[in-house]
Amino acid sequence: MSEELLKIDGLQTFFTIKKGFPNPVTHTVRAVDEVSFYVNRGESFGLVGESGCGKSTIGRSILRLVEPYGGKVFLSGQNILEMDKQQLLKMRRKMQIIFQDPYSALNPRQTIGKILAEPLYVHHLGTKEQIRERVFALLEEVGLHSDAANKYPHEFSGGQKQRIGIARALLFEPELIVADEPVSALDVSIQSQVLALMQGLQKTHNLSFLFISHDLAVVRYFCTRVAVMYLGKIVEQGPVQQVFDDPLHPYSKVLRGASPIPDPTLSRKMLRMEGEVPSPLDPPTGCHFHPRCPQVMDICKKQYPSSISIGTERTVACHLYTPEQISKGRTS
Amino acid sequence: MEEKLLVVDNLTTSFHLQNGWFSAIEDLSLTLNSNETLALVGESGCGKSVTAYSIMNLLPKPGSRIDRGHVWFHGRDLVGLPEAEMRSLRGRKLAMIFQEPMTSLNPALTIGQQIAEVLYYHNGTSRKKALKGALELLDQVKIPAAAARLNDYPHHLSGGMRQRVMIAMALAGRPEIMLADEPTTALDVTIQAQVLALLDDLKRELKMSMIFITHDMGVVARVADRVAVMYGGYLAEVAPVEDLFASPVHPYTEALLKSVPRLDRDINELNPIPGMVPSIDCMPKGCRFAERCAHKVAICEQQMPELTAINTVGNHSVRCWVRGGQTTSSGEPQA
Repeated sequence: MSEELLKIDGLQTFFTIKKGFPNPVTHTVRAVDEVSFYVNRGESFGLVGESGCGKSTIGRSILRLVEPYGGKVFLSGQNILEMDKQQLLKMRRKMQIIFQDPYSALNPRQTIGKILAEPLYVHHLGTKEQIRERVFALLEEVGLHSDAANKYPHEFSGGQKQRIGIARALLFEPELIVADEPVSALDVSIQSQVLALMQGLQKTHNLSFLFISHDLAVVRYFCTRVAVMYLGKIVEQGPVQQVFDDPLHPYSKVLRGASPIPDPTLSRKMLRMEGEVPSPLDPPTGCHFHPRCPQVMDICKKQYPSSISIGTERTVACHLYTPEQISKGRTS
Repeated sequence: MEEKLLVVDNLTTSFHLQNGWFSAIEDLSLTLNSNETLALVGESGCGKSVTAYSIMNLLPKPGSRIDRGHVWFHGRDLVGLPEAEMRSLRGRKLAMIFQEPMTSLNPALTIGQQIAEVLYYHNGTSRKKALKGALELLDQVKIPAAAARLNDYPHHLSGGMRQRVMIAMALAGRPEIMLADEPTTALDVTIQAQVLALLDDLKRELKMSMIFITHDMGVVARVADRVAVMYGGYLAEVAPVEDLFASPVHPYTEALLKSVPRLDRDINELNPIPGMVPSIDCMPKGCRFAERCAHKVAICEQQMPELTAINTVGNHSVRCWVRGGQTTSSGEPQA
């Protein structure tokens, strides 16, 4: 039943920055390094991690808003990274993005109607009348009144602006939506409204989401599978229940333990970890996580662990786990 | 054992907008006991930060004013206290930390200078000694290699480290009360966990009381002894943290807890609260949550209920017509 819509294979996105004066030295930041995962049609796949781990860069690389350095990205079997400009323009209709800050994502000098209609004009999709109808229908679908079309972005609250962002993403009936922290800037009660809206739209349009967030609870609710990232690499992936209830990678455990849970009887024993995320400019040798890892071994300092499969759906990249160990049944 | 350290009594603060004065908090009464952490929770615009700014007398002027009410602290009313006296309290008795440490730190001074300045002005220590004091404070907030950090500028530090510097500055005057306005909201979760743990340790070591402002129910559960839930400028519910999470009484508290996704369990469907927080220049008559409330009755939209205790101990209070156990018993005529 589950059909693969998006497949990412060994994606690499590097940035170069120049540092130093008067003789600048060029450094390469491996923002996304050898990342592989897939998203099924109609599924929500979560990417979690802390600031700077590369989760947003993955989203942008898939849409080629930043040019990846290597790897493959297949959408419905076609490699996006090999497309020329014309093909890419067509392909972009099938994949859209929702940004975190809906205010800076909307042009303050255009009415909502104009913001939503313009892409349709650009792609020559329908007459003026048809486009008007489409805009009204979309606004209603995302829970706004159709007279919103005549208003400017500043007249809306954060939640409403995010609804407009969602309406814009839906314009071309896309198959994949990259949602980059879509609810992080919203108040709690508005957050759940927007999540519920996105979930409803997912069902009616059979949408797939690549859901990027730092909030584990939101990902657990919205997604079926999740990948945990640390400094440009996926350290663990699998179904949300398994990854969050029984994390394997020490970093997943730390992330899980550090996330506050709204229950005073549980959250008093929140996990503490010293140290901070190292600079992606100069990641530690071997496993990137080893300087902060409570279970660090000698090998971790020398060699980056390869990713191993556990069962059919889970992978983890950590020296603590070997294929034999897994088959015997894990001990924590 | 429980000693009332700070008593906020019927405090009303207004802001001037284009068409007049509108109250951002109204008839707010709170007590902070010694050695406790009181969490102020609510969504944007509910008045939680305004409460802290009112207590600290840091409201932007002109443009805002305290209409009525008192803030009692050691027998003195902080409302209307001359600025000179307030200055002597700020930092030494009451200290505040803010959400975005970068905007609160001076980018042109080293962190050592900034912390030393607090000691120099408040305690009158010599500049040399103040710098030594700054080093001790950096150690206390567990900044690694503190001596080397003294000469760093704020932009050298990560968000978590900057927040630690802010905490060090707040601690410099050995305050009795720390007001923390969303101190971890801008931080990553693992760093948030570190800062929360640090605040917890410091509070215990230094016997401080804390007013902790946040919108995150998870953080509330982690840090608070008592919780005050605010909505539309009013207190909706005040309760010990265990009671609030185990049996929320006010419909807003209940709905808020039900509407957040949980990390530790599967939820099939979220129950979003419909509608939006009303803005301060068009607050509805009566209970401010009424239009979004699933349990409202006729009187809710007519008249604001009183904050009344619902248990015999008197530590759990609710402002609600339906669940507050106050079926017009206050004797007020029903509209």
